[in-house]
Amino acid sequence: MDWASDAASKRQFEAFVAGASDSLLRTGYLMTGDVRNAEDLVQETFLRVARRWNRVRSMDHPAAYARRILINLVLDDAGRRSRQQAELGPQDIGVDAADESATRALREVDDLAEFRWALAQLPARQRAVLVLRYWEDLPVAEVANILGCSAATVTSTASRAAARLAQALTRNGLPSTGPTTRSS
Amino acid sequence: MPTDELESQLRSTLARAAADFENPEQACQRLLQRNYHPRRANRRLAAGITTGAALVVGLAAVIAAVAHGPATKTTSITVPVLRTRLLAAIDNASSDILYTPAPGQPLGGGQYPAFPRPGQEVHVRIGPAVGSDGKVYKDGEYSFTMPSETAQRNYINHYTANLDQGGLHLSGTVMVVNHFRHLWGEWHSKFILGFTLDAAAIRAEIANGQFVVVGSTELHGQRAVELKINVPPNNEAPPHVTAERMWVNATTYLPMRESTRWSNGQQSVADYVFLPPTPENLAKLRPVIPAGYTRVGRIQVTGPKPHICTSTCPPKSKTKN
Repeated sequence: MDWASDAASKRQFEAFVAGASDSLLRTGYLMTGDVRNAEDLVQETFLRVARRWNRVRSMDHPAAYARRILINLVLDDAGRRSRQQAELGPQDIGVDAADESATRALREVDDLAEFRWALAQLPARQRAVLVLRYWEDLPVAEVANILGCSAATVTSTASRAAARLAQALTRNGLPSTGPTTRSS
Repeated sequence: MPTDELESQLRSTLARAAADFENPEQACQRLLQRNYHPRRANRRLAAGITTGAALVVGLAAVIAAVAHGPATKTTSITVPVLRTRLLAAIDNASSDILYTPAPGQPLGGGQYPAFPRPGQEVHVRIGPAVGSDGKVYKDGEYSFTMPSETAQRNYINHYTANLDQGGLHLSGTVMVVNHFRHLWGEWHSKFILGFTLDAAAIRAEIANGQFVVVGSTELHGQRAVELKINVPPNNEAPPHVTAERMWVNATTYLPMRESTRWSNGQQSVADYVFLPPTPENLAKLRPVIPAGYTRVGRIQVTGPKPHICTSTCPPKSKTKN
Protein backbone atom coordinates (compact mmCIF):
# COMPACT_ATOMS: atom_id res chain seq x y z
CA MET A 1 0.00 0.00 0.00
CA ASP A 2 1.17 3.51 -0.81
CA TRP A 3 1.36 5.04 2.67
CA ALA A 4 1.98 8.54 1.34
CA SER A 5 -1.51 8.70 -0.17
CA ASP A 6 -2.99 8.06 3.26
CA ALA A 7 -3.19 11.35 5.18
CA ALA A 8 -2.83 9.74 8.60
CA SER A 9 0.26 7.75 7.59
CA LYS A 10 1.77 10.82 6.01
CA ARG A 11 1.26 12.80 9.21
CA GLN A 12 2.76 9.94 11.18
CA PHE A 13 5.86 9.95 8.98
CA GLU A 14 6.18 13.74 9.23
CA ALA A 15 5.92 13.49 12.99
CA PHE A 16 8.66 10.89 12.93
CA VAL A 17 10.92 13.13 10.82
CA ALA A 18 10.25 16.07 13.13
CA GLY A 19 11.00 14.01 16.23
CA ALA A 20 14.05 12.14 15.00
CA SER A 21 15.83 14.87 13.02
CA ASP A 22 17.64 16.60 15.86
CA SER A 23 19.23 13.51 17.35
CA LEU A 24 20.13 12.06 13.93
CA LEU A 25 21.64 15.36 12.78
CA ARG A 26 23.85 15.55 15.85
CA THR A 27 24.91 11.92 15.46
CA GLY A 28 25.69 12.58 11.81
CA TYR A 29 27.60 15.69 12.82
CA LEU A 30 29.76 13.76 15.29
CA MET A 31 30.33 11.02 12.74
CA THR A 32 31.31 13.35 9.88
CA GLY A 33 32.43 16.55 11.58
CA ASP A 34 30.46 18.55 9.04
CA VAL A 35 26.92 19.95 9.35
CA ARG A 36 26.17 19.77 5.64
CA ASN A 37 27.27 16.20 5.32
CA ALA A 38 25.25 15.38 8.40
CA GLU A 39 22.14 16.88 6.82
CA ASP A 40 22.84 15.06 3.57
CA LEU A 41 23.16 11.75 5.41
CA VAL A 42 20.04 12.29 7.49
CA GLN A 43 18.05 13.08 4.37
CA GLU A 44 19.27 9.87 2.76
CA THR A 45 18.32 8.06 5.96
CA PHE A 46 14.77 9.42 5.85
CA LEU A 47 14.45 8.48 2.18
CA ARG A 48 15.34 4.91 3.06
CA VAL A 49 13.00 4.87 6.04
CA ALA A 50 10.22 6.24 3.80
CA ARG A 51 10.64 3.36 1.39
CA ARG A 52 9.88 0.93 4.22
CA TRP A 53 7.62 3.11 6.30
CA ASN A 54 4.75 0.64 6.28
CA ARG A 55 7.00 -1.78 8.14
CA VAL A 56 9.11 0.69 10.11
CA ARG A 57 6.15 2.46 11.71
CA SER A 58 5.05 -0.76 13.35
CA MET A 59 8.43 -1.19 15.01
CA ASP A 60 8.88 -0.48 18.69
CA HIS A 61 11.69 1.99 18.00
CA PRO A 62 11.59 3.44 14.46
CA ALA A 63 14.25 5.96 15.51
CA ALA A 64 16.66 3.16 16.33
CA TYR A 65 16.11 1.74 12.87
CA ALA A 66 16.86 5.14 11.34
CA ARG A 67 19.99 5.51 13.48
CA ARG A 68 21.23 2.16 12.28
CA ILE A 69 20.75 3.24 8.66
CA LEU A 70 22.61 6.48 9.33
CA ILE A 71 25.56 4.71 10.93
CA ASN A 72 25.70 2.18 8.12
CA LEU A 73 25.69 4.95 5.53
CA VAL A 74 28.81 6.41 7.14
CA LEU A 75 30.45 3.03 7.55
CA ASP A 76 29.69 2.04 3.97
CA ASP A 77 31.39 5.16 2.75
CA ALA A 78 34.40 4.40 4.88
CA GLY A 79 34.88 0.99 3.35
CA ARG A 80 33.81 -0.91 6.42
CA ARG A 81 34.65 -4.37 5.32
CA SER A 82 38.20 -3.73 4.27
CA ARG A 83 39.09 -2.15 7.55
CA GLN A 84 36.94 -4.06 9.97
CA GLN A 85 39.66 -6.47 10.89
CA ALA A 86 42.20 -3.80 11.65
CA GLU A 87 39.80 -1.61 13.57
CA LEU A 88 38.00 -4.20 15.61
CA GLY A 89 40.65 -6.82 16.11
CA PRO A 90 40.86 -8.59 19.45
CA GLN A 91 44.41 -7.55 20.29
CA ASP A 92 44.99 -4.72 22.72
CA ILE A 93 48.05 -3.30 24.41
CA GLY A 94 48.38 -1.12 27.48
CA VAL A 95 44.72 -0.23 27.76
CA ASP A 96 44.88 0.97 31.39
CA ALA A 97 47.68 3.42 30.71
CA ALA A 98 45.96 4.61 27.57
CA ASP A 99 42.72 5.19 29.52
CA GLU A 100 44.47 7.49 31.97
CA SER A 101 46.09 9.43 29.18
CA ALA A 102 42.81 9.69 27.28
CA THR A 103 40.94 10.89 30.37
CA ARG A 104 43.54 13.58 30.90
CA ALA A 105 43.44 14.69 27.26
CA LEU A 106 39.65 14.86 27.20
CA ARG A 107 39.55 16.83 30.44
CA GLU A 108 41.75 19.46 28.84
CA VAL A 109 39.65 19.91 25.71
CA ASP A 110 38.57 23.52 25.43
CA ASP A 111 38.45 23.87 21.66
CA LEU A 112 35.54 21.78 20.36
CA ALA A 113 36.64 22.24 16.73
CA GLU A 114 39.90 20.56 17.67
CA PHE A 115 37.99 17.75 19.35
CA ARG A 116 35.82 17.22 16.27
CA TRP A 117 38.93 17.16 14.13
CA ALA A 118 40.52 14.57 16.43
CA LEU A 119 37.34 12.50 16.33
CA ALA A 120 37.39 12.62 12.53
CA GLN A 121 40.89 11.13 12.57
CA LEU A 122 39.55 7.88 14.01
CA PRO A 123 38.61 5.04 11.70
CA ALA A 124 34.86 5.15 11.07
CA ARG A 125 34.01 2.12 13.19
CA GLN A 126 35.98 3.38 16.17
CA ARG A 127 34.17 6.70 15.81
CA ALA A 128 30.85 4.85 15.61
CA VAL A 129 31.60 2.98 18.83
CA LEU A 130 32.31 6.20 20.72
CA VAL A 131 29.31 8.07 19.29
CA LEU A 132 26.84 5.24 19.83
CA ARG A 133 28.12 4.28 23.25
CA TYR A 134 28.80 7.69 24.79
CA TRP A 135 26.72 10.19 22.83
CA GLU A 136 23.68 8.03 22.08
CA ASP A 137 24.27 6.29 25.41
CA LEU A 138 23.39 2.89 24.02
CA PRO A 139 24.13 -0.30 25.96
CA VAL A 140 27.21 -2.20 24.79
CA ALA A 141 25.04 -5.03 23.48
CA GLU A 142 23.05 -2.68 21.26
CA VAL A 143 26.19 -1.07 19.87
CA ALA A 144 27.53 -4.54 19.16
CA ASN A 145 24.30 -5.41 17.41
CA ILE A 146 24.42 -2.32 15.19
CA LEU A 147 28.06 -2.85 14.28
CA GLY A 148 27.80 -6.59 13.91
CA CYS A 149 30.49 -7.51 16.43
CA SER A 150 30.74 -8.90 19.95
CA ALA A 151 30.20 -6.90 23.13
CA ALA A 152 33.84 -7.55 24.10
CA THR A 153 34.97 -6.03 20.82
CA VAL A 154 32.90 -2.92 21.50
CA THR A 155 34.49 -2.33 24.88
CA SER A 156 38.04 -2.95 23.70
CA THR A 157 37.44 -0.77 20.65
CA ALA A 158 36.10 2.00 22.90
CA SER A 159 39.34 1.97 24.89
CA ARG A 160 41.48 1.91 21.80
CA ALA A 161 39.43 4.67 20.18
CA ALA A 162 39.73 6.82 23.29
CA ALA A 163 43.50 6.30 23.34
CA ARG A 164 43.75 7.25 19.70
CA LEU A 165 41.56 10.28 20.29
CA ALA A 166 43.86 11.38 23.10
CA GLN A 167 46.86 10.88 20.87
CA ALA A 168 45.36 13.12 18.20
CA LEU A 169 44.43 15.76 20.79
CA THR A 170 47.86 15.86 22.38
CA ARG A 171 49.53 16.21 19.00
CA ASN A 172 48.51 19.80 19.48
CA GLY A 173 46.41 20.34 16.43
CA LEU A 174 47.06 19.68 12.84
CA PRO A 175 49.41 17.09 11.46
CA SER A 176 52.14 18.28 9.11
CA THR A 177 50.47 16.84 6.01
CA GLY A 178 47.14 18.49 6.70
CA PRO A 179 43.89 16.94 7.82
CA THR A 180 42.73 14.92 4.85
CA THR A 181 39.34 14.13 6.32
CA ARG A 182 38.69 17.63 7.51
CA SER A 183 35.91 19.40 5.76
CA SER A 184 36.79 22.34 3.63
CA MET B 1 36.71 -1.76 29.43
CA PRO B 2 37.34 2.00 29.70
CA THR B 3 37.47 3.33 33.24
CA ASP B 4 34.40 5.06 34.68
CA GLU B 5 36.25 8.34 34.64
CA LEU B 6 37.16 8.00 30.97
CA GLU B 7 33.58 7.06 30.09
CA SER B 8 32.30 10.07 31.95
CA GLN B 9 34.76 12.35 30.12
CA LEU B 10 33.79 10.87 26.78
CA ARG B 11 30.10 11.45 27.51
CA SER B 12 30.53 15.06 28.52
CA THR B 13 32.92 15.97 25.70
CA LEU B 14 30.80 14.33 23.02
CA ALA B 15 27.70 16.06 24.43
CA ARG B 16 29.48 19.42 24.18
CA ALA B 17 30.63 18.68 20.63
CA ALA B 18 27.12 17.61 19.57
CA ALA B 19 25.62 20.73 21.15
CA ASP B 20 27.94 22.77 18.96
CA PHE B 21 25.78 21.98 15.90
CA GLU B 22 24.82 25.35 14.46
CA ASN B 23 21.15 26.08 13.77
CA PRO B 24 19.74 22.57 14.15
CA GLU B 25 16.22 24.01 13.95
CA GLN B 26 16.85 25.29 10.43
CA ALA B 27 18.29 21.95 9.35
CA CYS B 28 15.26 20.16 10.86
CA GLN B 29 12.94 22.49 8.98
CA ARG B 30 14.74 21.82 5.70
CA LEU B 31 14.50 18.08 6.32
CA LEU B 32 10.77 18.40 7.06
CA GLN B 33 10.11 20.32 3.88
CA ARG B 34 11.57 17.66 1.62
CA ASN B 35 9.42 15.17 -0.20
CA TYR B 36 10.08 11.62 0.97
CA HIS B 37 7.26 10.03 -0.97
CA PRO B 38 8.65 6.67 -2.12
CA ARG B 39 7.39 7.10 -5.69
CA ARG B 40 7.01 10.75 -6.32
CA ALA B 41 10.00 11.94 -4.36
CA ASN B 42 11.41 15.00 -5.93
CA ARG B 43 14.19 13.96 -8.23
CA ARG B 44 15.79 17.32 -7.81
CA LEU B 45 15.95 16.71 -4.11
CA ALA B 46 19.53 15.65 -4.12
CA ALA B 47 20.52 18.54 -6.31
CA GLY B 48 19.08 20.93 -3.78
CA ILE B 49 21.45 19.83 -1.11
CA THR B 50 24.35 22.12 -0.66
CA THR B 51 27.36 20.28 -1.81
CA GLY B 52 29.33 19.54 1.27
CA ALA B 53 32.86 18.56 1.81
CA ALA B 54 34.13 15.05 1.68
CA LEU B 55 32.60 12.45 3.98
CA VAL B 56 35.72 10.42 3.94
CA VAL B 57 39.01 10.55 2.17
CA GLY B 58 37.88 9.73 -1.30
CA LEU B 59 38.48 10.32 -4.91
CA ALA B 60 37.73 13.98 -4.91
CA ALA B 61 37.32 15.46 -8.31
CA VAL B 62 36.93 19.12 -8.94
CA ILE B 63 34.25 19.62 -11.49
CA ALA B 64 34.03 22.90 -13.26
CA ALA B 65 30.29 22.90 -13.55
CA VAL B 66 28.74 25.40 -15.90
CA ALA B 67 25.66 26.82 -14.29
CA HIS B 68 22.51 27.77 -16.18
CA GLY B 69 23.34 31.39 -15.58
CA PRO B 70 26.31 33.25 -16.96
CA ALA B 71 28.53 32.43 -13.99
CA THR B 72 30.72 29.38 -13.93
CA LYS B 73 30.78 27.47 -10.69
CA THR B 74 33.38 25.11 -9.43
CA THR B 75 31.99 22.35 -7.28
CA SER B 76 33.90 19.67 -5.50
CA ILE B 77 32.09 16.38 -5.22
CA THR B 78 33.38 13.01 -4.14
CA VAL B 79 32.56 9.54 -5.36
CA PRO B 80 30.80 8.54 -2.10
CA VAL B 81 28.57 11.64 -2.11
CA LEU B 82 27.86 11.32 -5.82
CA ARG B 83 27.11 7.63 -5.38
CA THR B 84 24.52 8.38 -2.69
CA ARG B 85 22.80 10.93 -4.89
CA LEU B 86 22.84 8.71 -7.98
CA LEU B 87 21.33 5.80 -6.09
CA ALA B 88 18.65 8.00 -4.55
CA ALA B 89 17.76 9.35 -7.99
CA ILE B 90 17.63 5.90 -9.57
CA ASP B 91 15.51 4.52 -6.75
CA ASN B 92 13.10 7.41 -7.04
CA ALA B 93 12.76 6.71 -10.76
CA SER B 94 12.47 2.94 -10.42
CA SER B 95 8.76 2.98 -11.28
CA ASP B 96 9.23 5.16 -14.35
CA ILE B 97 9.78 4.02 -17.91
CA LEU B 98 13.40 3.61 -18.91
CA TYR B 99 13.38 4.59 -22.55
CA THR B 100 16.35 4.18 -24.87
CA PRO B 101 15.93 6.25 -28.00
CA ALA B 102 17.87 4.86 -30.93
CA PRO B 103 20.21 7.50 -32.38
CA GLY B 104 18.93 8.58 -35.77
CA GLN B 105 15.91 6.28 -35.61
CA PRO B 106 12.27 7.19 -35.08
CA LEU B 107 11.72 4.35 -32.60
CA GLY B 108 13.60 3.23 -29.56
CA GLY B 109 13.50 0.49 -27.01
CA GLY B 110 12.83 0.55 -23.34
CA GLN B 111 11.27 -1.11 -20.37
CA TYR B 112 8.65 -0.54 -17.74
CA PRO B 113 9.20 -0.37 -14.87
CA ALA B 114 12.72 0.93 -15.16
CA PHE B 115 14.02 -1.09 -12.21
CA PRO B 116 11.53 -3.87 -11.61
CA ARG B 117 11.26 -5.66 -8.31
CA PRO B 118 10.96 -9.45 -8.08
CA GLY B 119 7.42 -10.49 -8.90
CA GLN B 120 6.58 -7.37 -10.87
CA GLU B 121 5.29 -7.58 -14.42
CA VAL B 122 7.80 -6.17 -16.87
CA HIS B 123 7.40 -4.99 -20.45
CA VAL B 124 10.47 -4.65 -22.61
CA ARG B 125 10.64 -3.33 -26.13
CA ILE B 126 13.82 -4.14 -27.90
CA GLY B 127 15.04 -1.44 -30.25
CA PRO B 128 13.40 -2.15 -33.62
CA ALA B 129 15.63 -3.92 -36.17
CA VAL B 130 16.58 -1.75 -39.11
CA GLY B 131 17.44 -3.06 -42.57
CA SER B 132 20.25 -1.80 -44.80
CA ASP B 133 17.70 0.40 -46.55
CA GLY B 134 17.04 2.20 -43.27
CA LYS B 135 13.55 0.76 -42.84
CA VAL B 136 12.34 -1.01 -39.72
CA TYR B 137 11.75 -4.63 -40.61
CA LYS B 138 11.05 -6.13 -37.19
CA ASP B 139 9.75 -4.91 -33.89
CA GLY B 140 8.79 -6.70 -30.71
CA GLU B 141 7.85 -6.70 -27.08
CA TYR B 142 8.67 -9.10 -24.26
CA SER B 143 6.42 -9.35 -21.21
CA PHE B 144 7.37 -11.40 -18.19
CA THR B 145 7.37 -11.54 -14.41
CA MET B 146 10.58 -10.37 -12.80
CA PRO B 147 12.38 -13.34 -11.26
CA SER B 148 14.03 -13.57 -7.88
CA GLU B 149 16.86 -11.36 -6.73
CA THR B 150 19.24 -14.29 -6.81
CA ALA B 151 18.78 -14.74 -10.52
CA GLN B 152 19.41 -11.05 -11.05
CA ARG B 153 22.51 -11.08 -8.90
CA ASN B 154 23.93 -14.05 -10.74
CA TYR B 155 23.59 -12.20 -13.97
CA ILE B 156 25.06 -8.95 -12.67
CA ASN B 157 28.03 -10.80 -11.23
CA HIS B 158 28.82 -11.95 -14.76
CA TYR B 159 27.87 -8.74 -16.43
CA THR B 160 31.05 -8.40 -18.40
CA ALA B 161 31.05 -12.04 -19.39
CA ASN B 162 30.54 -13.32 -22.91
CA LEU B 163 27.28 -11.90 -24.16
CA ASP B 164 26.43 -15.15 -25.88
CA GLN B 165 26.17 -16.74 -22.47
CA GLY B 166 24.94 -13.74 -20.52
CA GLY B 167 21.36 -12.70 -19.96
CA LEU B 168 18.45 -13.41 -17.76
CA HIS B 169 16.65 -16.70 -18.45
CA LEU B 170 12.98 -15.85 -18.58
CA SER B 171 9.67 -17.15 -19.69
CA GLY B 172 6.79 -14.96 -20.77
CA THR B 173 4.97 -13.52 -23.75
CA VAL B 174 6.74 -12.51 -26.93
CA MET B 175 5.09 -10.27 -29.46
CA VAL B 176 6.77 -9.69 -32.80
CA VAL B 177 5.75 -7.53 -35.75
CA ASN B 178 7.44 -8.41 -39.05
CA HIS B 179 7.22 -5.30 -41.22
CA PHE B 180 9.07 -7.03 -44.04
CA ARG B 181 6.36 -9.65 -44.42
CA HIS B 182 3.44 -7.69 -42.97
CA LEU B 183 2.86 -10.33 -40.30
CA TRP B 184 2.66 -10.34 -36.56
CA GLY B 185 2.43 -12.96 -33.85
CA GLU B 186 2.27 -13.43 -30.11
CA TRP B 187 3.18 -16.53 -28.15
CA HIS B 188 4.43 -17.82 -24.84
CA SER B 189 8.09 -18.73 -24.84
CA LYS B 190 11.34 -19.01 -22.96
CA PHE B 191 13.94 -16.41 -23.85
CA ILE B 192 17.17 -14.84 -22.67
CA LEU B 193 17.06 -11.12 -22.20
CA GLY B 194 19.89 -8.76 -21.39
CA PHE B 195 18.13 -5.42 -21.37
CA THR B 196 16.41 -5.71 -18.01
CA LEU B 197 19.61 -6.60 -16.30
CA ASP B 198 21.52 -3.93 -18.16
CA ALA B 199 19.40 -1.47 -16.21
CA ALA B 200 20.06 -3.35 -12.98
CA ALA B 201 23.75 -3.50 -13.84
CA ILE B 202 23.87 0.28 -14.16
CA ARG B 203 22.57 0.55 -10.64
CA ALA B 204 24.95 -2.16 -9.44
CA GLU B 205 27.92 -0.39 -10.99
CA ILE B 206 27.00 2.81 -9.20
CA ALA B 207 26.24 1.00 -5.94
CA ASN B 208 29.66 -0.65 -6.07
CA GLY B 209 31.19 2.80 -6.23
CA GLN B 210 33.74 1.52 -8.69
CA PHE B 211 33.92 4.65 -10.78
CA VAL B 212 35.82 7.89 -10.97
CA VAL B 213 34.53 11.31 -11.91
CA VAL B 214 36.05 12.41 -15.21
CA GLY B 215 34.54 15.88 -15.34
CA SER B 216 31.53 17.90 -16.36
CA THR B 217 30.13 18.35 -19.81
CA GLU B 218 26.91 19.13 -21.63
CA LEU B 219 24.72 16.43 -23.14
CA HIS B 220 21.44 17.03 -24.96
CA GLY B 221 21.57 20.62 -23.73
CA GLN B 222 21.79 19.61 -20.09
CA ARG B 223 24.61 19.64 -17.58
CA ALA B 224 26.10 16.20 -17.18
CA VAL B 225 28.81 14.55 -15.15
CA GLU B 226 31.00 12.04 -16.95
CA LEU B 227 32.01 8.93 -15.03
CA LYS B 228 34.55 6.30 -15.89
CA ILE B 229 33.41 2.88 -14.70
CA ASN B 230 36.20 0.63 -13.50
CA VAL B 231 36.00 -2.52 -15.58
CA PRO B 232 37.71 -5.49 -13.96
CA PRO B 233 40.07 -7.62 -16.09
CA ASN B 234 38.19 -10.27 -18.01
CA ASN B 235 39.80 -13.44 -19.30
CA GLU B 236 36.66 -14.92 -20.74
CA ALA B 237 36.05 -15.45 -24.43
CA PRO B 238 35.42 -12.27 -26.41
CA PRO B 239 33.52 -10.13 -26.93
CA HIS B 240 33.55 -8.70 -23.46
CA VAL B 241 33.49 -5.17 -22.12
CA THR B 242 36.88 -3.49 -21.88
CA ALA B 243 35.92 0.11 -21.10
CA GLU B 244 32.82 1.89 -19.98
CA ARG B 245 31.80 5.51 -19.53
CA MET B 246 28.58 6.86 -18.12
CA TRP B 247 27.09 10.33 -18.21
CA VAL B 248 24.66 11.34 -15.49
CA ASN B 249 22.45 14.40 -15.32
CA ALA B 250 24.12 16.93 -13.01
CA THR B 251 20.73 18.15 -11.78
CA THR B 252 18.57 15.05 -11.47
CA TYR B 253 21.48 12.59 -11.04
CA LEU B 254 19.84 10.10 -13.42
CA PRO B 255 21.91 8.19 -16.00
CA MET B 256 21.79 9.81 -19.45
CA ARG B 257 24.19 7.83 -21.58
CA GLU B 258 26.46 4.82 -21.41
CA SER B 259 29.27 4.12 -23.82
CA THR B 260 30.73 0.64 -23.91
CA ARG B 261 33.85 -0.55 -25.70
CA TRP B 262 34.18 -4.24 -26.47
CA SER B 263 37.21 -6.48 -26.74
CA ASN B 264 36.58 -6.89 -30.48
CA GLY B 265 37.09 -3.14 -30.95
CA GLN B 266 33.45 -2.26 -31.41
CA GLN B 267 31.74 0.42 -29.40
CA SER B 268 28.10 0.87 -28.46
CA VAL B 269 26.34 3.91 -27.11
CA ALA B 270 22.99 3.81 -25.32
CA ASP B 271 21.03 6.86 -24.28
CA TYR B 272 18.67 6.65 -21.31
CA VAL B 273 15.57 8.72 -20.76
CA PHE B 274 13.38 8.29 -17.70
CA LEU B 275 9.73 8.99 -18.46
CA PRO B 276 6.73 9.06 -16.12
CA PRO B 277 4.42 6.10 -16.84
CA THR B 278 1.65 8.06 -18.54
CA PRO B 279 -0.52 6.25 -21.13
CA GLU B 280 1.19 8.26 -23.86
CA ASN B 281 4.67 7.25 -22.69
CA LEU B 282 3.69 3.62 -22.12
CA ALA B 283 2.51 3.50 -25.73
CA LYS B 284 6.13 4.08 -26.77
CA LEU B 285 6.92 0.59 -25.51
CA ARG B 286 4.21 -1.08 -27.58
CA PRO B 287 5.05 -2.05 -31.15
CA VAL B 288 2.38 -0.79 -33.52
CA ILE B 289 0.61 -3.36 -35.69
CA PRO B 290 -0.32 -1.55 -38.90
CA ALA B 291 -3.72 -2.20 -40.44
CA GLY B 292 -3.79 -5.14 -42.84
CA TYR B 293 -1.09 -7.17 -41.08
CA THR B 294 -1.91 -10.85 -40.59
CA ARG B 295 -1.56 -12.69 -37.32
CA VAL B 296 0.40 -15.88 -37.81
CA GLY B 297 2.45 -18.41 -35.83
CA ARG B 298 5.91 -17.99 -34.41
CA ILE B 299 7.86 -19.65 -37.24
CA GLN B 300 6.30 -17.51 -39.94
CA VAL B 301 6.87 -14.26 -38.05
CA THR B 302 10.45 -14.94 -37.14
CA GLY B 303 11.30 -16.56 -40.50
CA PRO B 304 14.06 -15.45 -42.90
CA LYS B 305 15.09 -11.87 -42.42
CA PRO B 306 16.33 -9.38 -44.98
CA HIS B 307 19.94 -8.29 -45.18
CA ILE B 308 20.68 -5.96 -42.29
CA CYS B 309 23.53 -3.65 -41.66
CA THR B 310 26.36 -5.08 -39.61
CA SER B 311 29.26 -2.66 -39.73
CA THR B 312 27.47 0.57 -38.95
CA CYS B 313 25.01 -0.68 -36.36
CA PRO B 314 26.02 -0.90 -32.73
CA PRO B 315 26.78 -4.50 -31.64
CA LYS B 316 23.91 -4.51 -29.23
CA SER B 317 21.88 -7.57 -29.87
CA LYS B 318 21.60 -8.84 -26.36
CA THR B 319 18.39 -10.76 -26.97
CA LYS B 320 18.25 -14.33 -28.02
CA ASN B 321 14.99 -15.89 -28.90
